[in-house]
Amino acid sequence: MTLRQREITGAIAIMVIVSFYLHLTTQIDLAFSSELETIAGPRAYPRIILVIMGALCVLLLIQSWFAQPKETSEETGEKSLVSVVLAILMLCIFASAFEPVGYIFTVPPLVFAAALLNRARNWKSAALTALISTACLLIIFRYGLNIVLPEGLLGIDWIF
Amino acid sequence: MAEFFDTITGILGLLTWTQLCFLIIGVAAGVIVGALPGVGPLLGVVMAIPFTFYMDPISSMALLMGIYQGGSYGGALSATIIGIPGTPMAAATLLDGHPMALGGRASFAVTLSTIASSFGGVLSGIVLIAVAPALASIAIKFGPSEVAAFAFLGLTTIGALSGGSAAKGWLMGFLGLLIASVGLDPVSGASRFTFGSVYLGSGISLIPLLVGLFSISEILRQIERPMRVHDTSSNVSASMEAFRTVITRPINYIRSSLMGVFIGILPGIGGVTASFLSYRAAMVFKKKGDPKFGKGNPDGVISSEAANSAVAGGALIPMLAMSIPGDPIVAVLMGGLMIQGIQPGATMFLNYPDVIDGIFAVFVLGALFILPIGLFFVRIIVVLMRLPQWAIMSVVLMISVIGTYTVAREIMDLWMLLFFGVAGYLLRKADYPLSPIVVGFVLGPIFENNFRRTGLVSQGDIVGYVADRPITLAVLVVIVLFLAFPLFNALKRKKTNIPI
Repeated sequence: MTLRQREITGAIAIMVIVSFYLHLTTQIDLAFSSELETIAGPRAYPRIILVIMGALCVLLLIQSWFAQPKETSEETGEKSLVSVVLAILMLCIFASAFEPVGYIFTVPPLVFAAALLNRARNWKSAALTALISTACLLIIFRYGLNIVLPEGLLGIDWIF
Repeated sequence: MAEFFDTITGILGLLTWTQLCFLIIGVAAGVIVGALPGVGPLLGVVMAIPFTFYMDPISSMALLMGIYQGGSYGGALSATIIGIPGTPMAAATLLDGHPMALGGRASFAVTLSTIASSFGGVLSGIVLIAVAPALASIAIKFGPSEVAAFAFLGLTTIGALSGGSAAKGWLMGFLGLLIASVGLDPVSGASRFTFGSVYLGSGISLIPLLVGLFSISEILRQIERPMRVHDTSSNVSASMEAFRTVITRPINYIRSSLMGVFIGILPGIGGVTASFLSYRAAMVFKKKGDPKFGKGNPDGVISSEAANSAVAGGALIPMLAMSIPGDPIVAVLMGGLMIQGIQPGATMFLNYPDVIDGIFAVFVLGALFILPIGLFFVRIIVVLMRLPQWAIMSVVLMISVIGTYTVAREIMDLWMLLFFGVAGYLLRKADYPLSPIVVGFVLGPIFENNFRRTGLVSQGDIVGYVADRPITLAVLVVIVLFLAFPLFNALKRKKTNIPI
């Protein structure tokens, strides 16, 4: 996808979101508002923002359509795209597991996987970085800032 | 005037040892993140924000402003030593700093830029102390229409001067306003865009938004396109020759620093323009016998570094006095104050004078600390610049994720972080600037409250009401000029047949 195509796709996507949110403004409850539909009311402000955003999207679409194609060296390879999708998946798994499984068991795999996705050449260095950085951050939070991190499966108080 | 001198002379006694420690940590961390290409002071400040949640306001500002000041200077190290500016602001420093390093004078170039950065920072700190209270004493008299107009001015200037397409900048600024409007309506208490979620009812938190937009999206971008590994084999130390050179060129320092402060005050322009404009001014006043600009001229390094460091003090003036962030990092600093329950603006000078004095002290001392940290720890910083990019980015990811979670110990914050990270990555791919989102987000509540109060006070006749307010009218005229500026530019380009 070229930069111009991405710009057009971006503007259309934002326009869809703007339309959806514009529809949502009709559901804003006016029951407690004495100003109802005036400029000081709860619906008017987000509507003004959304209408301006919509107008700007149209302007961007026109600009992108008529502008000379800018070229880009930034073509995303299939392999890179897979890495990005894997990174997002990894973060989703982390967010789901962090509290139930705990800091100790979730952070080192996260750092290790992030290092590999960032093209670490040596898996041993990546593993060592993961372990050391996890330990350092734990010490900073626990003893420096006095913040308890999720214990999860471990659940042993004296370690934290 | 007496108050100004009291503040200057009493500055050392304003900070506790703990606050001084946070300032030193901040400056040192800032120099490191500034020197690492792909990280930079903005990401550094964003990563540090969650940690400030547990600090007092002055310690929090000491850490964040230290990173800002150190980071503005740190970019010069990588620009000089490896020929890649750690920050865009250091691009002008590269023009003469790197040729000096290639000619075996890396120590000379680094010492010059360190002294210039420190001096530029101190001078802008003095201007900050002198101008911000005076501006705040005027701003305190503003009514809701003036405050709303100034907030809107901040938003439009960011859009008009965001570098690429102005429409994209404005669109992102309005997106920031929209994100800020999620939650309970501040006037009526009605629920807006919450989808029935209790979490969204209290609004979107600043930290997941910031860390997601800047940190997670940058990590995803680097996973897609990794940065090159650079050779940093130069041996760098402090140079006495640089000190002797500095003494003979005071006018360049003062001129460049004042240009930096002035450009910093104007919202949205930032350090890149400041450093290139002062570089250009230094070219006009070139000393006879000096090497050519671009071939290792000391005035090139001095002008660029003094100006980009001085921008920080200038950018803080409208933020502290009028709640208008001068650049994206200052918008994040503003968010840092809001996390502490302090609303920047004219009333801050009345309600939190101790925090204001602390910020002044932090700023001047932070600029002074650049000198010893930059000169005596430069060897360590050069070693850190050799760290592989994968190690840096994976640690950045860990700090971002855990830092965000610990602020509220709320797992939904991690999901919001991920949401904004992916959104930021996609927006970067479509070439949309992210900084205006933050500016819109922090200005959102100020703009909305004052805009709607204007609506209430005017009893529906907003045009008639504004017509009687000369300051509001003047600001609206400036806004129109800023909105028209990109249009004039486009027409001018068309006339000269330059592709838009």
